[in-house]
Amino acid sequence: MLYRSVVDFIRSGFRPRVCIVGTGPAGMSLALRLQQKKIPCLLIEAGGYEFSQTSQDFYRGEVVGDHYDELHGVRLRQFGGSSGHWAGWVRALDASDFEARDYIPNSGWPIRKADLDPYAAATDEILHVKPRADDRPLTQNIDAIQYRFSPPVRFGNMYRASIEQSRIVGLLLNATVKELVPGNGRIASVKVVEGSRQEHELPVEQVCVCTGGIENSRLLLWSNARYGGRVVPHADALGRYWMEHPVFTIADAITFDGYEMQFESWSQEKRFFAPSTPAKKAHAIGGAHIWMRAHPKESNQAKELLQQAMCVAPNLSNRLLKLTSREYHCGAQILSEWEQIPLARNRVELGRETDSFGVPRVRLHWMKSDLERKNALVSARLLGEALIKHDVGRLRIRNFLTDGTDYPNDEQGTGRHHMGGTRMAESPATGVVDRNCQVFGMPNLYIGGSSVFVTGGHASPTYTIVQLALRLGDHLATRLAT
Amino acid sequence: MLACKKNESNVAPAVSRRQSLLLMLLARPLWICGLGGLLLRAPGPVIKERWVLAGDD
Repeated sequence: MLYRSVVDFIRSGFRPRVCIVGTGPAGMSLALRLQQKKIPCLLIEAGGYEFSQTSQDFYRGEVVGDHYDELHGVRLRQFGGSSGHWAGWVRALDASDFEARDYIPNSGWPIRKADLDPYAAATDEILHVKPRADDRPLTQNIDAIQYRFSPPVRFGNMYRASIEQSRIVGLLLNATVKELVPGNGRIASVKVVEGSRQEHELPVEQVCVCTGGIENSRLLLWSNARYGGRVVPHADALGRYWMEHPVFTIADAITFDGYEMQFESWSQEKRFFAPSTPAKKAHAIGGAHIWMRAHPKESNQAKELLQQAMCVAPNLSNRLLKLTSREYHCGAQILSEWEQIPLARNRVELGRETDSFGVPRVRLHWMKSDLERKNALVSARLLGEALIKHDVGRLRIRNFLTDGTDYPNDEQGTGRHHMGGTRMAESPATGVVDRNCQVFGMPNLYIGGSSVFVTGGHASPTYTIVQLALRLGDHLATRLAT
Repeated sequence: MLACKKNESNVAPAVSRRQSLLLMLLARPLWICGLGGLLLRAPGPVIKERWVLAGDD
């Protein structure tokens, strides 16, 4: 059911048991699950059906630290959320990503991969992905892994009709939840601003905040500031341990047999390399996936690589000269996306500027650490050794990794994956939500989305976001039935 | 097989036919470096440690 306004919703007599703030992959997957369970819920979306610069403006903010793209350009404030511009690559987190690793500070989820596996089939269905294939070892240290491809599902397009036609799920558009209002040790209501700045206070039974990996922290921080810490009673970790996935070209390779060409044609079943679990442990690094891309047509890089190879490797150069007696292409960039260590210093906080509703804009503190640099360097070396073992090429590592200079600023630099800020933990001393995504000390406040991630692994977060949302739906269904 | 796959895509070849013929004539490991550099005019320092190489390379 789509309500034309908040007043229209109030007059309808519809009484949702769960109020879901945000309609991205987390909020929408949760609503679809609750619909299956026949639990009335209300989706509240700050944007409209279409992209709007006016709506995006609420996402402007400041970044302190490493270079980062403008905050209003890396996420979408509209129906369907950031699924409106995602690339579609999906992969579940590995079992080792959930474990406490003594070489990754602040690692270790209170749940395991086995807790999310039961939701894999339903997640595949929501994201329209084919069944997964097993990873296979390429060497002892490098696995060939599979990423799957979602068409990509734009939640706003894909599920609009089913939400509009639903008698169980209500929808409010262009309605911004500005504050969560506490009362009697729980969230009593949400303060909603409609496009005209008219404010309404809607009473709630259960609230799930699913506004994205930056806005979740912002809404909780602001609500906590407004109401003297009564929204998130244990707020030491709130906004902190924020993470991204660094993405850079980490090496270049000379390849034999057109090895790099294999990667050019895989549009929907792209193959990646990844350090194996034993290798990650042995080298004390986090997760990473690595892929090849033939050097660009205009590039001089393959030529330059060949020249250097002649200097550093005489026997190899003789082999290469035979290869270059014909006009062949033999060069590839090696790119990687890898895990960032969760550190308290990387955080979302409230800035001094406010948006037009008077809510402080975000100030994001974000820096990569030495551990991230080591992760990329070791991954490149391990892949180089794998190329030697299979005699399919040789690899040269990019100098910013070997000499400690700045990361290049002419690349995207991140996956635009926003994780952490309301991390899951065993206790409120180290996190914001418990294993069921419930905010510690607030019995009717839940968080959906990648802000609950403890660590981010190397996989794109969407798959895990949907799994967690479905699991949260089941938890709420059980709780509301008793 | 060590031969590269023939360039059937729209990707540019690593070196031209003329350059590769010249290199074939000059293929001797110890002094090919300087001549190769002259012919190919590639920029940047050569740092062996950045390469991941096999023992017999």
